[in-house]
Amino acid sequence: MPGRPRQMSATMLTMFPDSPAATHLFAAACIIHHVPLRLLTKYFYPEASNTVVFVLMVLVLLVKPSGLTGRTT
Amino acid sequence: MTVMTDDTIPAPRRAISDEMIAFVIITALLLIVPLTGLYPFFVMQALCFALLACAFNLLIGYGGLLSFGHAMFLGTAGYFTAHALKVWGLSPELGIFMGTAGAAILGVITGLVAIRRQGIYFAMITLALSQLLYFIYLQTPFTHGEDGIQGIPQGYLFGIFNLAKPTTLYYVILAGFLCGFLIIYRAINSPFGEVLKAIRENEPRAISLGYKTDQYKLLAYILSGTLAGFAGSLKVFVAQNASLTDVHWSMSGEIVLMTLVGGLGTVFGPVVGAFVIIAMQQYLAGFGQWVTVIQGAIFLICVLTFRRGVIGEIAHFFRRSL
Repeated sequence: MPGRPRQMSATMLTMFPDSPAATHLFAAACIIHHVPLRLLTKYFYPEASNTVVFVLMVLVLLVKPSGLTGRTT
Repeated sequence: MTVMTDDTIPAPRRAISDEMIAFVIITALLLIVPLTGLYPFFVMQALCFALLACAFNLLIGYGGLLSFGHAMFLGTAGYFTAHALKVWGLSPELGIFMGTAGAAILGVITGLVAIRRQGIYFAMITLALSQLLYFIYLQTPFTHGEDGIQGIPQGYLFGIFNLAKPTTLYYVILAGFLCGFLIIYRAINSPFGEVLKAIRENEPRAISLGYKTDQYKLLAYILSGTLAGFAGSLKVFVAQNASLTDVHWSMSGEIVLMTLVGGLGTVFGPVVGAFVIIAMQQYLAGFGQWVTVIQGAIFLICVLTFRRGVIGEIAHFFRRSL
């Protein structure tokens, strides 16, 4: 599916947009995103597996806009 | 001695006079288009995108809110109108109403979420919501996935005007565009528009003056989304289909491009920008995928050399408001 790489990078950007250690945390982003969230969604409700990443993105932007590990200046 | 700056020139009364003259000239030119032999499909499509870009400009140019998800209004209204016409067999005016109302409701829902953040975060939230809808429409049965809704009947508007006739359809689209344009023009020249400009310039100052800025921003977002939806509903009658292309993030990018090329925060800039971009897509179609590269190059040139956009630069040169 052509949209997948874009979705993954979108989630990573959301989680670590301002972090200087962003590159080191990409692996962690994969774990956070792909293992529990995406796979579980795919298992329990496959129809939402594409959309769940954007729900997460909106939630992170609303709750902690600088990202999960980003610094607020 | 008064220092003349972009903000002080021109005076409001003269500005409105200039804009009205430009409006009359543009309307007169658009009225005679069917007599010129110009390809009507191109002009109708450009008019729909011009209204869409004007709606986007209301939000970014006057409210300072950069939305990267305006395609969701265009696509949603298109799908609603197409479904109402083809499956429910509703008349064109009811189809347009359904599409526009759908976009307005979507504006309320997404606006309540998005206006909680500002700047890049607002843009990212609108982009995420738009992509969310894209994948929903990809899987929902009524949109027919990647095929889209095709072969939409045009019917008779108010039971009188046969939209299957290109000339009749052209004037209906033109009337819709002018209505939408005048609503935007009225909004930006009203006290509501002045408060929007104040929020764009200095939101904390506007709050300190007692304005509930969140309510103003939400209203601007809903108005912009509704008019973008209206443009999407009109586009269904021109293209006779509703597809995923209209909801894709690249469409949101094209809307930004049209507005920037024409002139951000100008009245007529988005109209000119829409005509330039649609003309490029239409007449450079022979270049295939290179059209996107050419568009990118034009965007770069625009940003680097004339940042005010086509109309913005003309207005600045002649010291007029356009």
